[in-house]
Amino acid sequence: MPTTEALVRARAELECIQEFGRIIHSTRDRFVVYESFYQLLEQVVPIDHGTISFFDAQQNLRHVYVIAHRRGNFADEPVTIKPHTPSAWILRQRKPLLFENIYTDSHSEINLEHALGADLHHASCSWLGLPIMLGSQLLGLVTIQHHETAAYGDRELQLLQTLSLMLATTINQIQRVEELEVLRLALSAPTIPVDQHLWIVPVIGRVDQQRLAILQTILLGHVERQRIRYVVLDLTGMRSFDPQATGLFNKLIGALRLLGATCIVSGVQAENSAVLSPILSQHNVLIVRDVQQSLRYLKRQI
Amino acid sequence: MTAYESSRHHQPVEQTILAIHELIRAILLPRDLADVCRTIFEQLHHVLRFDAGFIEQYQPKTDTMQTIYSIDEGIENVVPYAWDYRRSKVVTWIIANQQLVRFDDLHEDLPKRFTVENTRSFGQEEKRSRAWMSVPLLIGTDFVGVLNIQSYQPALYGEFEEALLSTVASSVALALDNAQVLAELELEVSELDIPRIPLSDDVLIVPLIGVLDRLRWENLTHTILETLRERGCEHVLLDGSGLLTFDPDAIQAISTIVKAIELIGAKSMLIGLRPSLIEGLIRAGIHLTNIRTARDLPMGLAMLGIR
Repeated sequence: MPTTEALVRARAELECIQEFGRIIHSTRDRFVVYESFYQLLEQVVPIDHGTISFFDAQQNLRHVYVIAHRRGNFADEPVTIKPHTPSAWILRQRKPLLFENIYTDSHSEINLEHALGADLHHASCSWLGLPIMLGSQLLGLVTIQHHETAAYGDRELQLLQTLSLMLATTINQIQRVEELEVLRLALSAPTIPVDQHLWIVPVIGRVDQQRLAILQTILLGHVERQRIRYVVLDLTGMRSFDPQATGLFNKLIGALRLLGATCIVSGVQAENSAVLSPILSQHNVLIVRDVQQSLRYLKRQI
Repeated sequence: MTAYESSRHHQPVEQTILAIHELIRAILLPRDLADVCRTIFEQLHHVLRFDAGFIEQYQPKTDTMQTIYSIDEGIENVVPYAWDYRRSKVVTWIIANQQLVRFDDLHEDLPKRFTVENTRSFGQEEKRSRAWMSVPLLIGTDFVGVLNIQSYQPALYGEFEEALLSTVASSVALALDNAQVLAELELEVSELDIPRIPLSDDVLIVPLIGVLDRLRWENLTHTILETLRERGCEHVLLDGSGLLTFDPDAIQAISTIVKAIELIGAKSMLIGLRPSLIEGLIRAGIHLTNIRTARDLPMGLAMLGIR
């Protein structure tokens, strides 16, 4: 029959995992994830010092969270991993590493003097580190330390491994979502700068209020900052125009004019011409057949 | 912190906890849904005693439950089955209360707690399930499904077993959610149109935007070829100044697109490539001799005699 002590410990671990699961479900903020990772782990595992590090887009390792003297802090600092350190070994071997007493233990491939902190008053004896992996992909490194010897064993390693994989899954998802959002924004309002005076803006697909709102925000910002004089709205790829977006389209052309840019419309397709003609005639914009015609026109102007 | 009521657990707690860690880590690795379900029940044998079990997913569009996986003494059923959850008082209660339900003996206790019940039988219908636990799968406060285990033995589960199944459930929900969020966003982005601007009857400008992963560049190649076929353009200007990443995927994408354009009989010109991408192209063995390149769009247009 299980002992009470074992069950108390089991409850602490299970609640730690469940709570971390709840938190990573409910946020897309990396810092909330790092902070709760440390705070929940610390309720089960003793920690004096520690680090969470991830590789950035340039494949440089960066500390993102540093625990010093039992206090966690966000960080964004590059880390240089010297060869022959425990961290270097972990990243190379992609395996966890555990020391019961880093002062007296020895390891054939690691020079443990490198692992000792300069601050001997807060020297840590127990040392546990492991790679943050997602499948076969190496994302980073997490280490924890404690001043007592033999503070960590297989139980602590198992828990740290599980929480690290949950962390890796979440951080990877946050990153992928961010990439896709950037891409969605870029695809919703692509712009092609021809030179400093002239930008071509292809208006493509189904054009509705949401699409025009994104386009307006991005385009007006560029026009104002870079003093663009001519904007060619190319409607060749427009599949449909939602009549409810008429007002926004009017505003967009009006705003371009206010900012001192001339708006040229090219490539109106037959199927959209009926819904667009009242808007375009009202603004007295230049309408051309294709982009080349507008370039010819501008060559004469400039 | 208090212990769990302990009397029922069948193996050393350390062994169970180790098994639950392994289970969670196994299901968090990215893979398809059926695989995740199979792994859950395989590994769950090291954590809890059970003979049968199932996973059901809530379908918000149709407001029904769908049994996506069930297993009874080793015999799997992976054919999805949709049903009206309002037929089951237990599931309705789980959805309303977002809490686990446990029976020591389903046969005896079910009619006591829930007056009328139309359970849907699965697996071996002649045997009666006794010990029985169903736990809701929750993402934040959203109900996404149910995880169930049951046994032909009575009274197997206590408070500790409840906590074990709840912990598994939270990881299952995470695994399901991960797959779903990304699939939805990817679908949305892939459905956005690829911008292409016919400059004139002869020339097509294609801005390469954002990230060129496999899904997108196959789409992009297809779109360019279709447009070329429709309009009969002779030149394609690929504007790479809007690319965000220059990983091997992007390099592979560009070389494939360039080859495809060549095969259809048009000529391509690469514009606005950044140094890191050029280095990658050279390393990948792309011969730039038959491809024209230009620093920016005005230079490219000038080379074609436009402007």
